Amino acid sequence: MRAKCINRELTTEVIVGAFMMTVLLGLGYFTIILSRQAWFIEQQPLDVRFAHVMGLRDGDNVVCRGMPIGTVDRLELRQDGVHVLANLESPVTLHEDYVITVVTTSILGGRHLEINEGTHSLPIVEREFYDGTPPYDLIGDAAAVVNGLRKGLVEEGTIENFRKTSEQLRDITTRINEGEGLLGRLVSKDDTLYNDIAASAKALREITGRLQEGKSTIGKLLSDDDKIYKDLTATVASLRAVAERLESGKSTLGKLMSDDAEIYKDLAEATASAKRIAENLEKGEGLIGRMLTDDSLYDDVSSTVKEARDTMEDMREASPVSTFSSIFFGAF
Amino acid sequence: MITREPEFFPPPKGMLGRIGRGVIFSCREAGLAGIMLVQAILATRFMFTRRARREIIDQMFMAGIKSLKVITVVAVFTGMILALQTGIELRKFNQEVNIGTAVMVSMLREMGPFMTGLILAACVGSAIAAQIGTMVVSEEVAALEIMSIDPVRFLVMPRLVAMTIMTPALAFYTCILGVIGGGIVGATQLGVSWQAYIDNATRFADVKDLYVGILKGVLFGIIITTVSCHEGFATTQGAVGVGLSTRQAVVTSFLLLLIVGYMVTRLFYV
Amino acid sequence: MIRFENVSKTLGGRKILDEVSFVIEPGETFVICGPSGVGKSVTLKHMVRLLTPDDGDVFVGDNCISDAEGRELERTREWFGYLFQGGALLAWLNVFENVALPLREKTPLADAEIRKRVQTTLDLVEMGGDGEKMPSEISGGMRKRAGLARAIIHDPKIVLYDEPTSGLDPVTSRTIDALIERLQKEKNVTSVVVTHDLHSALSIGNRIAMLNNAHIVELATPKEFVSSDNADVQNFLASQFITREGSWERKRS
Ligand SMILES: Nc1ncnc2c1ncn2[C@@H]1O[C@H](COP(=O)(O)OP(=O)(O)O)[C@@H](O)[C@H]1O
Ligand SMILES: [Mg+2]
Repeated sequence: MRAKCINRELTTEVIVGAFMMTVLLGLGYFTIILSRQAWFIEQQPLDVRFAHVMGLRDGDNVVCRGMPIGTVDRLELRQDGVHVLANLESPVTLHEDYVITVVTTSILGGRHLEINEGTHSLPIVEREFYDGTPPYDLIGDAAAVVNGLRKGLVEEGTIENFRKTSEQLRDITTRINEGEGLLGRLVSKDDTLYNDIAASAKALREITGRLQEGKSTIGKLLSDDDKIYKDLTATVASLRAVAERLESGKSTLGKLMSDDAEIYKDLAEATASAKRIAENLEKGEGLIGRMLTDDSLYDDVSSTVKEARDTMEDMREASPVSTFSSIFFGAF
Repeated sequence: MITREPEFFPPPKGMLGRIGRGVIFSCREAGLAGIMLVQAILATRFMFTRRARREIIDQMFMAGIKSLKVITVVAVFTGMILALQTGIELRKFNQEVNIGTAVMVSMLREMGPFMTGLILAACVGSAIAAQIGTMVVSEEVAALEIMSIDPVRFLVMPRLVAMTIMTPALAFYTCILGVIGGGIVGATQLGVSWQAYIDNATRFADVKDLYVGILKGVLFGIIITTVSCHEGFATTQGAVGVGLSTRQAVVTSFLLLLIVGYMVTRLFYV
Repeated sequence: MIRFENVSKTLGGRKILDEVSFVIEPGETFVICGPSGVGKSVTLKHMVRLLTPDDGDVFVGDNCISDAEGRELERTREWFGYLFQGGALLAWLNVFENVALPLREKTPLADAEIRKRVQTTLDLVEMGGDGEKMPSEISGGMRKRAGLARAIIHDPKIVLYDEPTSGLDPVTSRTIDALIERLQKEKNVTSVVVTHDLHSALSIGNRIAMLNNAHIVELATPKEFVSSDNADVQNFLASQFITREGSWERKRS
């Protein structure tokens, strides 16, 4: 009787104990996994100074060329900015044109620290701390775009913007090509994305208009140094730059839009047709004459204009992120 | 003294009187429960005596191991439902792979402890309230008091310790099973491979999520035990009273679990 | 030993005790009788402070138990053994462990010593062979006897019996009566017995108090009690076929 009793007590103890042990082991295992700490690997500290870290948190990943290489250990607010102290499992060497920035990980949120080591041919930099590039502020830029658009569409005086010459386009093109600003920044700094594209459209329309004046003007048109040629090239270049930016998905905005293939396709098509016109013109007099006789040039060009304008509409209506579109709709 | 003297108050006059009395009584009940909790915590200094150890192990067995079956089923299905619901929505954005994160984070932070709390309140809390209520009604608690055996130390403390350990353990267990359940749904219904699911689940969840969940488990264990023991001790009116106390214990526990769960989340994540 | 001084108690809006005063002497067997629901159990509960008087005081020895708190209350309560109406055994412990409970919890005795004393006490209440049974497996009478064993295991100075014989067959009732007498004689405990069984009351009591309408209507030795002129007492006696001239005295051993 008593032996049986003791036996039962023992079984209870063993079962409870086994359960608790299992849970504790699981807990330990999970702690290690979730803390993403490489506990037994030597780590290299990294100190990056930011003006603003956009809600980066302890434990967030550090990513280099798409590969997680460490975690953010802690954040410190100092006199000169926010210092992000990270531990790297695999060491990285930073070259002079390195870029370290805070990036949104997915549309569900989350941030990580993105390291771009820079060009390998440039000299290596070793500092006590490195400077971070300010994070890309999607919402802020979206608001700027909206402001620009409103200015362009609502305020009367901005009709002037449509009269902008190809120089401005070229200027923008240059800036894009220099890679100085992401699409959003470009838009927020200068007038508007709308204006940029509208300006290209305007330029195209101008050419169309001139061609439309008839055969008699062809000679004049062609003798006008290489103005047409230049205008067209600039237009094409700017459109292509925009499209490329979007395609490369460098900015989050671009990424979002490249997910939604419509917009990109529109832009790319516009670019392609504009380019075709320019190439055709470039091929010389005879070709132009032929094109003009079957009216196809005129159709091409005007459909290009239409496409460019449609693209603008699409951008406004088909923005995939609700905040983005709500800002848009709120603006009008 | 934990045994209560029978009380009698003339019925309150009018609406205002009823409300006022309700408020005052609830405050008093909360106060008594709080005092009992403090006494029980103080009594934990005896938790390593031989008898207390035995009793705690028994209570852990009753509260934890005996509820494993139902908790397992509930946990797996909770995870499966979470995965399915979020998966269907996320599919619209081609983001099904993120169900890993969704299930992991919500299980760790909220659903794990909460589901465990609900089940334990319903299974174990009600049993505690009924047992202690029966003991009060059959004068067993009075007998303990006359023997100078502190009912709080004798009855509440082992249950409190057992539940405080068991609830977070079971909450963690629920989380793991929930994540596994979500993975099953992901692999079979949503076309998210097991590997991708686990990878996604562990990538975004944080140790903080894990330990906030554990903290909730601890708090829930304390709440369920305190409420159930208190309701048990407050039993009057014989067998009918035991039924009432049991019901009251479960209802109050549920409400407190919800409120405290919200507050903890609010505290740590906003 | 126990002294009630003008104790009043109202329960459920009804006055159960109204300025009740009496004294229980050390070593005597004091019987409280009266009809059901009159407040006998309530009186008993006042002695161990399970209830607190609205007015008046209850003294145990020289301690005013109705004012005692904490440690002092605990010490005073250690004088008492209390047999509850239903036995009040803990349902999840077997009879043996129930009886051993006061020793295990309150004394540093070794296990062997505890076993020995529990066995002796169980033998005393004629339950020596039922130690391994659970409370739910035994009859009401056995539960009462086990409760009695638990009440007396720590050698209390005062034992309070709440209806020790009600619901028992006459034979067991007499066994319990004999046990109460034996305890009083052998260990000189003060006994307070609540009962409405007058045969039992008259056979074991040194003094009998009758409670009615919140007052003690009669307090007397058994002899005086049967010859009381009080109408309530007469009624009560008549209801159990006891008369002045009857043979109740012969039952006394
Ligand atoms: N907990 C309580 N709440 C309200 N009234 C009570 C309570 N306990 C006892 N009473 C009242 O006190 C009276 C006496 O009860 P009790 O002393 O148990 O009777 P008895 O003399 O049969 O032992 C009963 O009529 C009952 O109505
Ligand atoms: Mg009674």
